[in-house]
Amino acid sequence: MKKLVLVLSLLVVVFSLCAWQSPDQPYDVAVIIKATDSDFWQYVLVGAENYGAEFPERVKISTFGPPSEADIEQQVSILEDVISGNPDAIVISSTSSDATIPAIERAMDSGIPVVTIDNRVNTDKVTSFIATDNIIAGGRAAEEMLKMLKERYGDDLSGKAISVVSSIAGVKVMEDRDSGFLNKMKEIAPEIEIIEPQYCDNDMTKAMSITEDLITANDNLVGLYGGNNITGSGISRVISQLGKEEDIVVIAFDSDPEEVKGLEAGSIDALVVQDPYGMGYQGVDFVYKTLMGETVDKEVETPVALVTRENFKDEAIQGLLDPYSRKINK
Amino acid sequence: MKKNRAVTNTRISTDILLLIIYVIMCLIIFALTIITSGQNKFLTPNNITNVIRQTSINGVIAIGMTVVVITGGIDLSVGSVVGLSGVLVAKFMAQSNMGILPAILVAALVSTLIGVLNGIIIFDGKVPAFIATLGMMTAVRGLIMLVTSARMVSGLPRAFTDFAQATFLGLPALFYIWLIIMLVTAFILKYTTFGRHLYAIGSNIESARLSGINVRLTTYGAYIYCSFLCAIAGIMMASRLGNGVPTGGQGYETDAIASAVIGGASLSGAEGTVLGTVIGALIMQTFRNGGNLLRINPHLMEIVIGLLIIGAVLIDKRTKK
Repeated sequence: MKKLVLVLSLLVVVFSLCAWQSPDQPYDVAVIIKATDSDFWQYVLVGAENYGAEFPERVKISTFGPPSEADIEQQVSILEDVISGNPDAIVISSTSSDATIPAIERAMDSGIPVVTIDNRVNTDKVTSFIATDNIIAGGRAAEEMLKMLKERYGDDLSGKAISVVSSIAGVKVMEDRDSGFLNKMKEIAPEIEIIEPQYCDNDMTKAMSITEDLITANDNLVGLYGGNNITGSGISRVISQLGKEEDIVVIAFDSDPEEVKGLEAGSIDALVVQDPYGMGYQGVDFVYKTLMGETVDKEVETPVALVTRENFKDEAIQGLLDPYSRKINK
Repeated sequence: MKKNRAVTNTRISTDILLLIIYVIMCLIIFALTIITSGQNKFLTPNNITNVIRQTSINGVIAIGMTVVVITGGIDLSVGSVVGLSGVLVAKFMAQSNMGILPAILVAALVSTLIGVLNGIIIFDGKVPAFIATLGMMTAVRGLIMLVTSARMVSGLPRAFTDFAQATFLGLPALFYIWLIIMLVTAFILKYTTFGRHLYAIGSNIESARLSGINVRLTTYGAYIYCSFLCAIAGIMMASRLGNGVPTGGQGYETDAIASAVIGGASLSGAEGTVLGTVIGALIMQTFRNGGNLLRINPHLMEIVIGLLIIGAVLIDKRTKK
């Protein structure tokens, strides 16, 4: 019993130390990401934290997120805990489009502005929504792939095949990117055979196995598409190991170090890059403006950039590829 | 003693049965690829190498899992230990400027400590293995995220990343590591007192204790050995991926347990062989590979793999009666 009291009082002390804040604080903004385990979401945080570092008098950023995107339940709990802590505003990229609705509406009702980024939440009760249209972005990848295929193989592509290494089933962003790509490809190049996508459960080792199997099974394979950093990195490694750079056009989303290396080395031909840094930065800017009584756009589209070996060295592209290079260290 | 021999004999026949099933499965996939595409894509040197390489990592983990399962325990932390050793070896080489060999040794040592913790929590803390290693799985994954800041660790030396792609006598280098582990583990299980004690405590922990077996050390040994093999698997994975990937190894406990179970290991302990588990792992990966070659709907594949696991245990239980 004594021990229990000791442990409990220790916990109380630790928590109060953590919660202690000096008076006269800037706005307390909570940024909640989908998962702490990927570079993409870390880039969102860099953007948000940079805003806080640039304007320390305006906002103080605290960051939250479950360890993995599969943890929808945990993200809802985090959001609920954050709301209980009564922050001044919330920026969230919600993994589920529905699970977080009650909590978000509750926050909005109690006067906490909520800006959602990357994934749409199916409610009108949000301050603003900032995202990439992934169907359009996937379609751009298809157009770029067709252009590159024609450069290599001429205008007649009948008999050639392409495929997709899919990351994970049941996540809307991924489904949009894959279906956006596939539908656009069917529309602009119906003569190309499309090999049924395989799912790698967002595991890079499995992504590599699938790529190896696709290449082994299909001599006419000329194009591969990966909808995120894990599939892109996996495809890229296999292409360079098998020396298939000249035969297969590879286009992938995101800009993990392995993908950037692949782009430089030729195993990836183009990267579709979103602007997670911009999303984080703009998200915080929007809640600040809302708190100051300004009105902000209800929906903002952040466009994607297509990075190829040609425009790779441009300064704007470099900043997109490695947002960490822009991180402000306090 | 006599009973032990009988158990070993039925085990050998189970392993042979498994081998026959595996060969039949390969022939079916082979026939199907010929029928659907008109050419042999399955039994080519290239594809066989692919399958063996793709199985090697899970194969090593599954052997570690088998050792634990034989004692009647389970280790759910295998995937996290694989991930930990993968990012550690990458960090040591890319960021601490350690040589390849020292980096491997230190990463393996640190990751193996997880097994020590598992052993202590399970034996001395009397926490059920399922819970202890479930907690460890989560804690170690958190540790991985903490040390990597959830970022991929890149910049590994070529000599290290080339290894996973290298072949020797026509077979992938990764396979030879798996092979050495198979032979060593099979030897330990069959010919050492430690190996026999593993089966003994899996069969009946109380009578094992009464017959003077050091249950504590044997339990520690099982979990330490399992973590050690996972550490090796993690280093193999880092070489194959060319990076230290923080999410690497997530969910690998499922494949490892499935391989062991398909291979005839019993979750109630005292049953399981290295050969059985190796074939179990090959069956799973060959099935996936065949599905990819035959362009079978991936969701359908998952259903079949799930049924395969249940079916394997059902058949095993029926034949044992």
